[in-house]
Amino acid sequence: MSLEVLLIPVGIAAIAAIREARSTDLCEKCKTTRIKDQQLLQDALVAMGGTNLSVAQGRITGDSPYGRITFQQIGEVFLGRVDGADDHVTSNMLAALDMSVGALLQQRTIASLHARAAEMGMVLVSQTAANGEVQLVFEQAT
Amino acid sequence: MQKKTITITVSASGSITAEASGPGAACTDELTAIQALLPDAVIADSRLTPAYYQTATQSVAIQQLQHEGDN
Repeated sequence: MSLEVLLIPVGIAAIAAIREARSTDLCEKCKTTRIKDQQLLQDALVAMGGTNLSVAQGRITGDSPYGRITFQQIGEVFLGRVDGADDHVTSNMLAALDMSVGALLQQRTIASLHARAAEMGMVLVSQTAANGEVQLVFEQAT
Repeated sequence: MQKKTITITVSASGSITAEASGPGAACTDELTAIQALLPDAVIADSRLTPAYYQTATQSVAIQQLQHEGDN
């Protein structure tokens, strides 16, 4: 038997949820992200150089290398902007944020896999990294 | 002894692909093992791999040969 499965970490949304999110009066000129976990957003902002973050339920503001930033949760996901900046500045900031989120999720998934595999009695046979991807092979006696 | 193998690829964007292969296990067993390894992720899609179909085809071919041999 051989089976292939695509999985998405719980902190980010499926494409349908991202498409449904729209800028509203709550966050004018905001653009949508794929982030639905506020702690993940906060950690990713810090990792990309965010400072002076002010966190409230469903809302984060602060400073970043791109300028003052605002994030607001609309539905499942967070929308964000660089305050008072052109659209392309917001797009650049969100692209950097997305890379930061990806790196965090990758690190956390790998750490979690090591721990879970040990608990399940599986052996890590190999771990290789190439082109930004990390591949882990686990083996268990049948 | 044959081993059950689970190969997991974590992309730079954070998405995860898991492939399970090994003797005897049913799809549900493999899905359960993958979900146990990745409790903080949800399944977005799944499919049987070409290796599964190759094995299935070989099994049918062997059965046909045995059937022909019996006749």
